[in-house]
Amino acid sequence: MIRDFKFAFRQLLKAPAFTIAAVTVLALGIGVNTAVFGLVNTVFFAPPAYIKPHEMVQLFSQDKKDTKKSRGFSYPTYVDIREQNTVFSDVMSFNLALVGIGQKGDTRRAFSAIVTSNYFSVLGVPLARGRPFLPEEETPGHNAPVAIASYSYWQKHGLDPNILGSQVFINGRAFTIVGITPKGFVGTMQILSPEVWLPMSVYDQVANDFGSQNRTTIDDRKGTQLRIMGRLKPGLTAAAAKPELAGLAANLEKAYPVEQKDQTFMAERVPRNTVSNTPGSDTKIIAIAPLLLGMAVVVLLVACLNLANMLLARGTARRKEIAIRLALGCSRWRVVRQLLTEGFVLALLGGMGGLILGLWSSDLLVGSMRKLMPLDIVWLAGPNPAILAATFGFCLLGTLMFALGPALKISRSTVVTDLKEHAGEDVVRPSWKFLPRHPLVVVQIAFSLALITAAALFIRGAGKAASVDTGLRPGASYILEVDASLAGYEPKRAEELYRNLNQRLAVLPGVERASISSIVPFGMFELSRKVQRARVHSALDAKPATAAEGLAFEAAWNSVGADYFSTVGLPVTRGRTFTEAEATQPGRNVAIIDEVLAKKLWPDGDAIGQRIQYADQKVGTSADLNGGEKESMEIVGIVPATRHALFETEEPIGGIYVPFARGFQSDISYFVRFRSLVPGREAATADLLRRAVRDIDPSIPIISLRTFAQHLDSNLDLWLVRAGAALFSIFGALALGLAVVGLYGVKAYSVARRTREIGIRMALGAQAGAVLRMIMREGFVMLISGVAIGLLLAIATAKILSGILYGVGALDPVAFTVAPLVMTAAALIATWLPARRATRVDPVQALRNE
Amino acid sequence: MIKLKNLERSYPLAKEKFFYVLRDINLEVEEGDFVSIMGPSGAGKSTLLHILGMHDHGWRGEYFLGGTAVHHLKPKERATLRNEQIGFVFQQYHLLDDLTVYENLDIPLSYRHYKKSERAAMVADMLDRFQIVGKKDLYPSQLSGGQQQLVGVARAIIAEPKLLLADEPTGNLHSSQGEEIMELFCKLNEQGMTIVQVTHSEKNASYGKRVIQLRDGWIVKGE
Repeated sequence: MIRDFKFAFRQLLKAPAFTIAAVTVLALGIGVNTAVFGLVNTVFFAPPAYIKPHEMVQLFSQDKKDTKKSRGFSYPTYVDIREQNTVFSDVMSFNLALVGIGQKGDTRRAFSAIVTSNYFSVLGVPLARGRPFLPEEETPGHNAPVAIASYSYWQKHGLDPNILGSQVFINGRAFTIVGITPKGFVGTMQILSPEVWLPMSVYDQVANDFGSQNRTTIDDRKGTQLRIMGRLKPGLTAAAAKPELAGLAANLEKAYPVEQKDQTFMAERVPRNTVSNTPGSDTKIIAIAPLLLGMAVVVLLVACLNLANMLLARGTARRKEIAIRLALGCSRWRVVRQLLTEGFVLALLGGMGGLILGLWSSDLLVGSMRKLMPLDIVWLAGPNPAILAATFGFCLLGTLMFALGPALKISRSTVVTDLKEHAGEDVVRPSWKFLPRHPLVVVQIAFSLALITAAALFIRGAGKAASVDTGLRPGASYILEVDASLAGYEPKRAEELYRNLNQRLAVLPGVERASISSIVPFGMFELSRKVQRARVHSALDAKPATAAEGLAFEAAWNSVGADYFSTVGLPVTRGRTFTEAEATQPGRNVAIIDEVLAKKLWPDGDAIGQRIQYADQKVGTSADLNGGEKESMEIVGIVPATRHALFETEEPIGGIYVPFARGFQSDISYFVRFRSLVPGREAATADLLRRAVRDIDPSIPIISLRTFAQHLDSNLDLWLVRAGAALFSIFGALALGLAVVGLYGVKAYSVARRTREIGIRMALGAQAGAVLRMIMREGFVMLISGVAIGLLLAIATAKILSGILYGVGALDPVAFTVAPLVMTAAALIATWLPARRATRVDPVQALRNE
Repeated sequence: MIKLKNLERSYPLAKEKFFYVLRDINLEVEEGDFVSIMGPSGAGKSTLLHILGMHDHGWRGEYFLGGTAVHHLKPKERATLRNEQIGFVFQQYHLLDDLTVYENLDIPLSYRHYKKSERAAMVADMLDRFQIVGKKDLYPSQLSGGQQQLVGVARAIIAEPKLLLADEPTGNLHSSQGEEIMELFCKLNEQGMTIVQVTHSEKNASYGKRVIQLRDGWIVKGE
């Protein structure tokens, strides 16, 4: 065996050009697979950061009457579940919150997890440093300013040995760091991690105020803020625990008939990549895994087919050597073993290159994600045993795919014939005559075309996504995001500060208008409320069928300043905009709705002057407590419908705008519309805006500052579409490159080996054109066969991809025209070059060489 | 039929030095002649034959074929003239390995733009004439050397050339097979075909009407 390896190395050193080409081809094929496997394995398959994941489940609270409806838990309900359940060893609870970490101008946005004191013990994760939260730090009202920081936070602070006991400012308030999570710990999700963990007692101070009208405090039994996860008792499964959990839910419903009405409990495995109140929330994401792996394996397959062709061609040249070996008594198995060893050595060399390439490219991908996400992406760079094993597996798989076939074929040598064989190509026997001469190239072309088509579909989607009409015309606008609560401002003071800042921004040099807005369309967060006609009294269990009967409609919600619509270029088509007084003082309760919502609520009438109310106003809010009457709003204006999500696939849901004074949020943005933005003056303009904030209060953190175009560019959905396009373009380009190189290699090699034949043909009267046509025709047969099979594969691939494509049909005619054209053009060039060389064969020389 | 005047063929060596394969060749071959070119290895026999067959274009001098001044023709015109007038037989037969006997015979016709039906008739006629109908679907490797050369000759004359050039046509055959081929040449010559063959064999040369001796690129006898 060692001799086989020695000989294999000697053979590869003897043909350095072949070896470099083969290793490069393999490195590309294996590299893509290593990168994709690394990502897919970490996100979808690798064990979570906590121990015994098979025992961990998430508890869901489901509506018995409408099982599609699930909700979270209140803290008191969590305590009851923890105390009364019989199926869990222990349960913990948590929620995520977006916080500002740092002080004053240095504040940045990050995710925190607000957790019960047993969070780490239930997960079975010991801290790297310090201690977990104490039970008293969990108790609502205790308000314990302590925090546990992530390992990456510690890393950002240079692994400071004195980190414990130091302070971290969260939302402008000092928290003492009491612990550090272990390296690689990400909480309950894969790779996406909070940066700090905070005790449940600070929930009311830290949790975000989205939809503050419905907000309940942490000790309120009506709350639905929390997620519960538990560790099942040994030997118990989620299914087996179902009756017990249903019994527990029934007991709680009996004890709290209003708060727990119609709720039942169910346990399901912990989602790997989402935090949600709805079971099965990450199944759609998991579906991408086989798709990505499948595409990557196709690239490896194309690379292997390419290499198999190279080995077959090389085998033809080595036929005499093999015949001599066989003539000298070598067994066929021994020859196969030798050839496989050579293939394996090539695969190992390619695997090493692929590993480097794969690790580098996955770091690149994670790096580009990090720029967009406020969540910490914990990505342990460098090879791990799973990746090394997978890469080795790809090498073995590759060896079998590219070396076994040629080894078996080459070793089937007929000694006598091969010893005196012309050094030409294999003789094509009648039964194969009507098939393309090189079926492996045909398969390569087919697979490549499928991948190029997939890439074309994604590129088309990305192009459409980038040119989506948002419905807004904000012109030369900057978006300035600030959060006064991070500097310790209470809502009242913050409101005043925001008013002053709005006034100051509006009078800056060059500024046309400025307006506050609690939600920036197409940003990371959206809010929606259920809206219905006001003063519709329907029975509690009634199911209204029309707007007149009280049917409520989901609508995108935003609270805005008086100048918002003129600033973002959304004309008020009917009625009026908010007055300055309405926008800044909680006076008349008014709203502006868009045309979609107006049409839904008053299909045949005029919405202006009508009154609406929130249908999802929770029981016990101020409005309900004051006489059971929901607060109603008068519709004073109607604006055109806009997109609410950048990639809205369904019908627009409609939108409602309320004056900012009636929908205060602490995390707000200003649209600052300039008369024009002079290119090259971006830094100065940004500085002007920063200075305006500093002049009002230097402690106010600027969370982000960018132009509207930059804001759209950083949209996560757009990133996903672009990442998909980039990923599939890489797959497609690699496959196209490999197929074209393969086709060129085969044709070039074929021409070189067929010099004698071409010489004879020319001696018999063939002119250059005839030789060119002959070689081109053979290439064309391969191309047509490949394209025909490839189109079928492409259709199948497109059907599989249709669920994740944006804005293009699975059989998009442009993609299905461009991809075959690109493939054909590249393949024709790859065939033409050797064909042209064939026309230059000197018959005298060719025949003399015999 | 053939007239060569001061024909020379050389290959460049070092600085402005040349290696001469053929020197000052002056030769006339009448229509219906059967000429054997003889000489030791390296004398330039095959080179002369390839120049006559217009496979080699790197020569100087004058070459007239049937009154046409080949030396004035462009490569494409030479190719057309060759296809009209010349057939070539090789020592190693040079049949195409992955084509059957039938297809090998069809090849020269396909390069001469005959219609498919005409080609089929001509191939059938040739198979019949050479009595190899039964072998039409066999591949070259399934034939003996003599049979392969028979196909080689059939292929060379299928397009009815006026001039048949043969480069050691019996070099790879045993004596009886060689005789068979030479008798075939005589028959073709009797039917009016001009033949120029390169041979080492005195016996084969004796089948022809005249012998030209080449040595070191010079014609030393039979000019």
